[in-house]
Amino acid sequence: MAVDVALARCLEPAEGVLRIYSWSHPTLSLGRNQPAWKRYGEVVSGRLEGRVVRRPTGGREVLHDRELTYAVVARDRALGGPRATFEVINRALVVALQALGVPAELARSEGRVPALGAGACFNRPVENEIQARGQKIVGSAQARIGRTLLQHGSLPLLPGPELVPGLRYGGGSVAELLGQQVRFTVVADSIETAMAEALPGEWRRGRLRPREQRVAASLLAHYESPAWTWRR
Amino acid sequence: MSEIPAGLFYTEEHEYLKPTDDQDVFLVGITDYAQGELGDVVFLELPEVGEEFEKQDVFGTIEAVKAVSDLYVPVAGEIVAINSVLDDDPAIVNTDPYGEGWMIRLKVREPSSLEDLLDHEAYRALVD
Repeated sequence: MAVDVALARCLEPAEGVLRIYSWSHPTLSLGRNQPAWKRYGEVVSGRLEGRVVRRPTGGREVLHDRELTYAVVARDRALGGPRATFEVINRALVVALQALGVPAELARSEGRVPALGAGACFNRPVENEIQARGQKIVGSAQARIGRTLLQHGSLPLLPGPELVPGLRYGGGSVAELLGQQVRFTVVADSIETAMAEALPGEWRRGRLRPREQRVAASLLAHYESPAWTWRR
Repeated sequence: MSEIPAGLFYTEEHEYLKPTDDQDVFLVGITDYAQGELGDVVFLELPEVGEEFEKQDVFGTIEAVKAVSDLYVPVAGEIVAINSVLDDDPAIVNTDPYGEGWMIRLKVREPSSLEDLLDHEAYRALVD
């Protein structure tokens, strides 16, 4: 979380960033504002050995395990407003998944969005989220950080274990939808190609710059603190 | 097309200040354009009454669909009331942004600071 926010804080005016990563241990991420302590405080701290983080972005809980996480950072309004940006990025992800053979599509609106306490993110897609064969396949959320927009999300590659009762990915996984496993790097390459075609500008691969590393390090204590994780 | 009433002040961050009967006290919320861009509002975090803010300080956060955004104080002042009705029904921001969807009552420290804000015509030009 600290790195995603550091990328947003350090973004230069004409830049955009796509970051693709995975988690070293199964981790539950909570939405910025969702109430979570009553539901997960004791259970999760036992089953996941305290591996719980709270995102800077909205939405509800996501269990990260055997999955790919992406983060896109862009100047605020470079791709339109929050909803327009959500659609642009998710259309690119649909293209990436379709290139792998996953029958992905954008979900249509189904009335009002679920409340923040309505259960796991993958239980139900909202408008313009990505589904395949009726199952949500990518869970995404956004935050506006200063003049920058961060959108990150989770794509399950393999079916995950039910580490916490009632908390599964909820949706499908790439392996289940294709009937075979696909390597992380293959999925990452497909996303990279689709994003480069969908988002304007010239893209090049890079590593965290020194200033981004410093900002991320300075944010780490905040994102690791129980006061932040269990703020609600 | 978004509703942009005359007689209010607007910011480039899509917030408005609406005059009240009390001198130098304004209702602050987000514009109809902003609520349309954000989508269904599901959560608001507002400050405490009595808190003082400088211009462009973050006074709260708003979450709509899955997007979290900070809320900025348009001009320096003191919070004299918050709209606690929004705790239970934040979607009022969508249905009545300039009426029951106000977020804070702000006592402006320097009335001359309002001169830096946009009128309805300038705001219309910004969002069109």
